Amino acid sequence: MPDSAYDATRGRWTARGQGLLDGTETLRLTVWNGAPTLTVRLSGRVRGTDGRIVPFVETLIPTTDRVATILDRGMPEGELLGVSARVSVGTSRDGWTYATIELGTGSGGQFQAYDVLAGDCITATRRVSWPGSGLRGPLDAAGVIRSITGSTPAAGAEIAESVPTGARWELLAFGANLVTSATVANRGPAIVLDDGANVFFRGPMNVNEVASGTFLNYWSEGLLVSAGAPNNIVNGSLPANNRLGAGHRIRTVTQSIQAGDQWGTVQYLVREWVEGG
Amino acid sequence: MVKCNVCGGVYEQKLADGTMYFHACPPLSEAEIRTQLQQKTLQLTPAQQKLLDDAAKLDADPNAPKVDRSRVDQAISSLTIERPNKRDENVAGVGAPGQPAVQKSPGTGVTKI
Repeated sequence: MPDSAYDATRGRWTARGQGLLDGTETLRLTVWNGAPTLTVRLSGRVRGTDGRIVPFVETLIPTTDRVATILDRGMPEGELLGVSARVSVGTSRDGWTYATIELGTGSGGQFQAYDVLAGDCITATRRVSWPGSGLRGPLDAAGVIRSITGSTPAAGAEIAESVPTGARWELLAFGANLVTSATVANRGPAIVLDDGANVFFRGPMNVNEVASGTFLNYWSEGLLVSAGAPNNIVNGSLPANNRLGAGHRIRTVTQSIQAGDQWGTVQYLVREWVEGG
Repeated sequence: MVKCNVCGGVYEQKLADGTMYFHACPPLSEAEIRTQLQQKTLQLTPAQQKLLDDAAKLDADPNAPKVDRSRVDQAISSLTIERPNKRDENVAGVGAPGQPAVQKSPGTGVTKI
């Protein structure tokens, strides 16, 4: 008999005896979540040494800050027939909540994994399961489109938004209004992307934003830098298909910004994934 | 709604869609750098000081090509100077059991408004 078999209907290899348990194993569910508060349900079935099939259910409320939340469950001697996890309370979308199910020994910081049984993004309708799911990374998901309201800086200060820990973003569009003071100067806003310290992109506007005005600045993928500012609307460009990692920043840098100038109405659109540790 | 005690930025810590928002103070703006240089309250690194000194020399050189904007102003625009004790609410690590995650830098906190 071969040591493993290919399950064509499910598109994955299954090791023979992968679910056998000697009573010392721990089943570990790890969830990385950026969605609002939700509950993840872990369920499965075990065949005990007496031949009886016993179901089990556990729930986990992961944090919403994209840091790993862990549930460890000691397993009895017997055979793990199947296990799955899905969002049971709350709402998530593909790319926002990532779960792995592992079999190992020990718990907490002493956990040692033998096998990663399954890993995938989960929602209320999409579960990760063994057998059944393959192993898919969190960045393989479609990602979640989010519209985010940023901080309004103090007068004379710039905008800075940071990619949260555990997140990866594609910056699709960024908008902010600059209300200029009466001090005469030609303000030149630019959007700046940096890695938390070092700048790797500057996208300037091509229009001087003069005193005593309200300028509606928009940067977007695929947008041409505007030559004029009809109705004080100014357009700039972002790198196509950009990716920003955790800790990277989206900032404005405004040439000749004055102490009384005020940035505001900061709103931006991102595609987000959890990085899953 | 809260106001950052370091930079004066105003924001919601929980967004309308129920997700968490993590504020991080912006670097000093050109206006803030200019003011602090005039007040002599800003300590530049030797490399930053050299950049400004070289720009000032060129601005004063009658033989240097004319530019629309002074080279010192251009140099100031290129600087990235972080705020002292800046606040960064992003997660630095997992907290103790039952405790919130550890922030990268609390700065001097926030004021509810």
